[in-house]
Amino acid sequence: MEPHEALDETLLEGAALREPAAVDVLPPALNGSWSPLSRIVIAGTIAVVAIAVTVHLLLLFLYLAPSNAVSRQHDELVRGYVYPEFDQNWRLFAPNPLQTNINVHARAEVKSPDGSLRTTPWASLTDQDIAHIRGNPAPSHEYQNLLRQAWDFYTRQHDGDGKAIGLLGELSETYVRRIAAHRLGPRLDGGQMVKVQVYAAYTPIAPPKWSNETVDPRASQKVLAWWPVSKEDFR
Amino acid sequence: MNIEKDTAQVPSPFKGMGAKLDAGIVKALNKIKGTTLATYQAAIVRIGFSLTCALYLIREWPHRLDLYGTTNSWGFDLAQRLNASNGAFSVLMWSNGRLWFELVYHGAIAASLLLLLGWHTRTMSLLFMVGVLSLLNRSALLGDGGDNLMHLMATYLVLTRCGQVWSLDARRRDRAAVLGRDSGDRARAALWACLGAGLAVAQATGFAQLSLGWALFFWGMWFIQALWFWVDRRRSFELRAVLDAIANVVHNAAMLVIAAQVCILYTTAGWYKIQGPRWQDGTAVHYPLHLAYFSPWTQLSQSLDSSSLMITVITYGTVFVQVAFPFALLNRRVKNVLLPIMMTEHASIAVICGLPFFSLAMVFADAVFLPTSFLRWVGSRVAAARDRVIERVRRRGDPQTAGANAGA
Repeated sequence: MEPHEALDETLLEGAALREPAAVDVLPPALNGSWSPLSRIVIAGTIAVVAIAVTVHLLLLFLYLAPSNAVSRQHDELVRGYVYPEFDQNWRLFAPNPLQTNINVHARAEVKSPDGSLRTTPWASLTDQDIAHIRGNPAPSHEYQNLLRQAWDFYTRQHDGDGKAIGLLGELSETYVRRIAAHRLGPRLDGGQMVKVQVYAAYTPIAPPKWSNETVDPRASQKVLAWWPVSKEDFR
Repeated sequence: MNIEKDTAQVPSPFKGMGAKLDAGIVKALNKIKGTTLATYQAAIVRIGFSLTCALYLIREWPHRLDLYGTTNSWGFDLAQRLNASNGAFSVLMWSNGRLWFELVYHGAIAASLLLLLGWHTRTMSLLFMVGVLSLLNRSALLGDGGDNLMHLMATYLVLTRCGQVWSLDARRRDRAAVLGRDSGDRARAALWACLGAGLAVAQATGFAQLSLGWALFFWGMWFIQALWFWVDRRRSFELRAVLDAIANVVHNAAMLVIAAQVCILYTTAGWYKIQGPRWQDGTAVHYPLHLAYFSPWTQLSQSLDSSSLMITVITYGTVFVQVAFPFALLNRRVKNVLLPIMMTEHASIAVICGLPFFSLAMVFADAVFLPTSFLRWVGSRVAAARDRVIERVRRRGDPQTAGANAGA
């Protein structure tokens, strides 16, 4: 083994240590001592596996690369192959990191036993999450990912006018509604939750002092309509 | 003319290239079919990802019902509709019962631990994949990059011979070579029969809703295992050698895919960052330090953010290292400098951003590029430490057998 082959050597070094037992009987090289059938089977395997690896990596590349002529032309093939089991997204904090703190709030309309309706004050679901994350070396996905990614999913699956896009848009609405309903209800203040409303506050993170960047420090809001809550949401 | 003379005197660089190329191809082909390459790297990926998964599932144990189970906000109906649209695999979609969920969750923990130990590694890697995919695909919107990587690696690991070293399988094989009889045959046959019967019953009763592709995959794996039994019993050397060769080819291809997957990860992360103004002006790292969801230790985040030099160096350094990574693999020395830098960065992210499982997954993905000499050295140190502990425990239990333990 040549010591100057960087990657190869790393991957090959372990090889010589443990030869398969069959080496005692057949020479490791595919020569005349192997039967023709064995040689055909092995050659066929190598060909199939080589093609499979090439296709796999090529389709992954086309899926992850920015949209281009080739990937647009074969969009169906690429997505059909990569979804769902090879789906991946490595644009971590790229092209830009998230520069906004998103705080999701919820309130509910509660029906008392006497039939009167009452609206609860806003509660920050995100603040509940943060309280669990602070000082925790291993925060649970329940607080770090659940609501955060659900809200991200919701905004990605809705257009500028707040209309749901297709099946995913519809699913994302139910998901956010249930998260809010589960966090607040089903029973609160001695009554039954009948409706829930969600709003998100977007607070831009100020650029560092040494940066020339200027950002409007004012927070913006996205307020959603009231959603009726049914028993189905608590099953 | 002078120029003609010059060309006549210089030997062609292409001389003999055809023959060399032929010899090279033959050598390479024999290598990929004749040897299990990167056995230690495969083992560290196996150990790393099964450990990460086990720790994650144990950590989330109190939250398991809210994250993947019956009280999940991503309800069974929602998951059913999404998975029906994209065909994602999850045994948790077979039933919404509490018992089934607990079985799958605890089964996934058991499979992770047994894969970690390398007990009937191939079968455990298959069960590990079933467990990981089932949980992660039940709540597809819950996962972060670490879960994503675990999902991919669990799939790739099934195709590797990742139990050749540092496993109970390897220990049993070594003993069998001395004793002449493999003591694991019974367990192997029992596992094979139970899993086959379980799958058959689940399919026959309509409990298992398997797509044709997945059914073919599972039954294919089952038949391949049967083939190994049969060949072992017949003691046919050539058939055994052919199976070995095929297993080697598939293993080597899967290790290549794992390595390429890690390169793809860093390439995508790096090249997309280059396009972002915040990474260009050197301030990008400032922002995550102020994201409430990723600052469990606000004092630490703020003290890190107080130095403009520090933020600029980390921002540029991250992009540089991520973009350079695949190219650095071409040179052993550069690679071995870059790897510890990346692992250190991930370890810091674990603490600063409160992402220990994500970081653990990334570190073990990087580990596929560690040199074999280093891995074997770590392995020998761990084995020595283990032997010391065992000896101490024995000595405490029975003072007369102290010192009888022979080091491996």
